[in-house]
Formats: sequence, C-alpha cells, structure tokens
Amino acid sequence: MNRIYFIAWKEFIQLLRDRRTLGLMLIAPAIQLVVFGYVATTEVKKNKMVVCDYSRTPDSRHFTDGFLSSGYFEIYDYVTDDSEIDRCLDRGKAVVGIIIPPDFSRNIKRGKETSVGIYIDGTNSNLAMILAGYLRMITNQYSRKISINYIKGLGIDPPDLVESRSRVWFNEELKSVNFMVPGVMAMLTLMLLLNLTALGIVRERERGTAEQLSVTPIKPLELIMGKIVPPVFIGYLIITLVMVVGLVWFNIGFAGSVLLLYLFALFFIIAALSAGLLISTFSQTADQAMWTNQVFVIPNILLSGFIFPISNMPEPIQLATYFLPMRYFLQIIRGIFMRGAGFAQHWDEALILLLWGVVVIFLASMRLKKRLV
Amino acid sequence: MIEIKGLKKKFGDNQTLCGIDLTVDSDIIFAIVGPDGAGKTTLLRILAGIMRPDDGLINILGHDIVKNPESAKRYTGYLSQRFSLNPTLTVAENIDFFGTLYEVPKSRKEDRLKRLLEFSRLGPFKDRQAGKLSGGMKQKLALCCALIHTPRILLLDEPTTGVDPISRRELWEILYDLLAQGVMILVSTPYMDEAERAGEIMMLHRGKTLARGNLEDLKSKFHHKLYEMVCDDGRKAFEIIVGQLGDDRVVFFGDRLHLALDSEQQMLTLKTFIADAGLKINSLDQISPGLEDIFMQELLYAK
Repeated sequence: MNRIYFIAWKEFIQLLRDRRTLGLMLIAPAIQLVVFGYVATTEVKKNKMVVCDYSRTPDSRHFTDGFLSSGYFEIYDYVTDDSEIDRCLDRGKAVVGIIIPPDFSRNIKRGKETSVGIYIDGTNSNLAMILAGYLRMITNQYSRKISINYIKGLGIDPPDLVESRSRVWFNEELKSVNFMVPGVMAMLTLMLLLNLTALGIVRERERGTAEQLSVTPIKPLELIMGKIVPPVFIGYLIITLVMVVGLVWFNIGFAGSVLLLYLFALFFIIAALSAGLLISTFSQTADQAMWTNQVFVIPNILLSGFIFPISNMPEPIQLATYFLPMRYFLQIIRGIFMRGAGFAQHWDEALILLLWGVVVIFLASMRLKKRLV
Repeated sequence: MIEIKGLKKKFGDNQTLCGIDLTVDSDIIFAIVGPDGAGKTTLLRILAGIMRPDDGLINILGHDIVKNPESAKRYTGYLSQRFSLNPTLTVAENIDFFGTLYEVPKSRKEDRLKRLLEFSRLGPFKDRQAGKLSGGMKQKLALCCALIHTPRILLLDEPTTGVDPISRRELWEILYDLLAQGVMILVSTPYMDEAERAGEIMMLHRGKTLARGNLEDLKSKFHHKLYEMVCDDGRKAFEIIVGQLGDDRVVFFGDRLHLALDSEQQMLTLKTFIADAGLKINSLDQISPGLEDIFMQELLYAK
C-alpha cells in the first residue's frame, strides 16, 4: 500500500514539475470549451438573403417581411435581376436567394396557386437543411394566412385548423451550448486520460525507468495501481473544470445531481484508463501510443452522438457505436445535465461502462504481465 | 554465492547465451568483458530477475531464481545500461523513491541516504533534478539508487560507457569502497582496459565463455609470443602480414601492430617479407600481452 502511494506521489510530482505539459493540459480544455461553446453552434441566425422581387406589391413585401421578422434571415440586398442572385450565392455574399414572380400578387388575389423560387447555398449541407426547414415553415405560415383571409373574405368564419405548437423540453431555448458542454466534458476526459496512461507507461518503458523499477520487489499490479491514481484525480479535475465553466460562464442549466455525475464519471474514467493501459501494451514507443490513441479517440468523438446524432447514422455504424464508451457517458451526462436524470434512468449505461472497463483492464493485464519492461 | 549452470537464452533465431557456467563465491569485482552482442546485458538481466532464461540453473545466495525470480531481488542491486531514473525527481527524491520500493524502513533509509550522498559526493546536488545532472553524476545517482537497500550483490551493466575519464575513475573508486564493505560486484564492460581493474574476468563472445580467471591466470594462458611493431606504412605492413598468416594473428593498436606469433623464427621470416616490400620497421619488440591480445588469441582458439 505504501508503495502504491509512493508511485502515485512520484507521478504527481512529475506531472507538477512538467510545467509545459501541465499548462497544455489546462489550456486545451479552455480552447475546446470556447470552440464548442461559441463557434460550433447549430443555431442559425441572421443568414444573408438576396431578394429579387419582380412583383413589387404590398403582398410581396409582406411575404419577405415574414422572413426578416423570424430573426433567421436578414436582407443582404434587393436585386432587380435574378442572375444577380446567382452572383451573390457564388461569391458567398448570401446563402439564400428568393425570386418573387411578377404575377405573385395577382395570382394570390385570384386565389390561384403561385410559386416563388428559393435558392439555398448547399455548401454547408447541415446549414442548408436547417435553412430549408425555416424557409418552408415561414412560407407555410404565409400561405395559411392567405387562406384564412380568403375564407374570411367570403364571409365565413375560418375553421379551426390543426396548428402545431411544439415545445422543446430539456433545452428550451435550443441552445447548442447546453448540448455541447457535456460533450466537451466527455471528450476531454477521454483524450486526457488516454494520453496520461498510455503515454505515461510507454514513456517509462522507452526511458528504461520501467526496467529499473522491475528489478525492485514491487509487483506489476502495485505499479499499475500507483500509475492509475493520478489520472483519476486529473479526470475529476477536468470534469469539474468543464462543469464550472459551463455553469458560470455559459450559464447552461444543470438539472441533475452532481454526486451522481461524479459516481458515473468514475465508470467512464475507469473505461478510459483501461483503454490507455491496453494501448500501452501494443505500443513500443510514445509516438506509436499517441497515434493509437487517435485511432481510438476519433471514432469516440465522431460516432458517440457528440457531433452527429446516432439515429442519422447508417445501421452498421449505429451498431458499432455500442462499443464506444463515450456513447454511454455522453447519454448519462446529457441526461443529468439537461433532464435531471437520476440513477434509475442511467444505471444500465453505467453498468455497460463498468463492464467495458473491467473487460479491457483484464485484457490489458494479461498482456502487461508479459511485457511491462 | 552466485552459481550458474548451463544458462541458455534465445531471442528469435539468435542464441544469445549458449550454455554459460559460472561460479563466483568470494567478494570480488567480477568483470564480464566482451564486444557488443556478446550477451553481457542478457546475462545480467537474468541475474537481476527481470528476464527468464530458457534453460539452466541459477542460484544466488541460496535462492533459485529460475524457479522464483523475485526471491533474490532484495539482495541484489542492478544498474541498467542507460540512465533510467525519473528526470523530474531530485537526487534525494530518486534515492528515497527506490528506498521505498525496496521497503527500507524509514529510519534506516534516512541514515543510508545521508551516507550514500556523502560517499558518492552527490551531497551538494541533492536537491537538483536528476535530468539536470552531468553524465557522470547521473551514473553515480543511479548507483546510489541501486545501493539504497544495501544489496549483497551489485550487478552493473556497462556503468562506464559514455562516462568521462574522471568520473570513470571516481566510479571505480566507489566500487573498490563497496568491495571493502563486503559487496560482490558483477560489472560488464566492452573495454578491455577497464576489465583489467577487476579481480576476476570472464571473456564472453557470442554467448560463450572464451576464458575466465584473474589477469595473471589469463596472461599465463597466452601461448604465443607477442610482438609490437611500429612501421612507416602500418596499413601496408598489416596487409602483408595478413597475406602471410591470416587476419587473426595481427591487430591494430593505434598506429602500432600487435603480432601473435608462434616462434621467434616466424617473426624473423615476417620481418624479411616486410623489408623486401620496401617498408621501414621503426621498432619491433616482444611485449607482455594485455587483455585484448588474450581475447584475440582466445577467439582464435575458439575457432
């Protein structure tokens, strides 16, 4: 026990004395938080729009106003020729172009169908999808108003139509930062712990310190326990750091229990450490370990639901995501952060995480026994 | 105290140790000398209990370490070939750290630390980080770490490779001190001149023992007559001799040539050959053999 404590102490001292690494370890989360909190937002506001209004009537004016008042769009320019819309889109001056035909108002007055041309810059397909949705919604609202007015004009009370009033739960303002902060938390914890364990062990092997340790009577298990303790602390430090910044700086909501978060975080930390241990058994050099870490981290980031919803992925990939520990932790912490979920909602995911960690630790220790040095 | 019988170790297709027998039973400095790849490191690592042999018996202080590699670890200290301490820990912290791993009681550890710092002359640097020490000091620190648990047997793998001449001499002084304190020392080295400082020498080549004994024993086994020759064009003289006797009778020592010959007659014949080729011989004397000459001769016999 004393020896485990001493190894851990040594690891802490090494970590604290290596100022540069320590600094990078703290700066990285800060940068990631800013990037994901401010930049990688999925809300779209004030998108530039070019309007080519051949109709020039109060009706057409009313129609375009509908887009502006939504807040999602603003006018980049009014043009007189539709070829100019092409130009604006080509140059990236605007992302949406609208052409209102000359007979727009006349057709409406006659109760005939009329169509408007809408062009969307599809370069950013995600954005284009979202904008298309907004455009459809606003256009539908406008045509409904026309129908109602038409019916009223006939002297009939308009019938009650079905109106969808959707209310978003758990993230009422649909602020992407609420969604991103838990993701950043999981991602950073995974990356950091993987590097600390895998690189830490491989570097000792590379430097020959592992050999000098192995001539002492210390048991490999004691050595590994000692090496694992500091990363566990670092993992909790990062989780706390991200949480505090999220709550204080980004003002995100936290509906659940911090204690529960910390409990489930332990399972994720164990999973990340065990992955690091396993990777260390496959790597001869720190370089190899670093790249192997990437191979593990990238699918976890891309496929865990952090960036792309899992339900949109092709079926085989969806199945593959069940092997990613970050998938489970992300579901757990998003649940705790946004829905205030309790133990009952997430114990199964936590159990899978724990199992994952135990299996991988077992594999790693089978291999470590053979080649600690 | 160390008894090795039929020790074998193979890495892939490479038989690194092909049946080593060795008994060292008194407190001496025992040098294992041989070129790179002779198997020195493998032998020491097996003795340190961090590598399992394929075959053979090893008994260290009554412990069968083939059966149980852990059993002798408390009584042996091992220093690996490269510097392998934690560069960010200070001198004192490194020694203390190993003291804990060896489970040296706290009171004894402090006393021992003080004495080690004194005797290695690292005292003034005890708060310096190990990574910031010079090469010689690093080696001394590593030695202190290997000595914190007062081992009975010290295994040193090329401790002076890459160490400056002054530090090298200091290190040997420390080894003699340790010997006086009753520590058996096994030291490997690729340098013949260094092995000559040891009480007993084992010559290792491609996993086989070439010769063993103290310096006098080994010298007495030298059956050739050894001549040292200085010639204007040494390179050309070398070629002539190789043409006459083959390449295992002559070795370059700087600008001098060492010739291991069977008789004085052979020397005279050779001399005329060289003179006939128009080369001027500046000096030609019979000398007493050094370890390197003996090593070359043993290599020849081994063939």
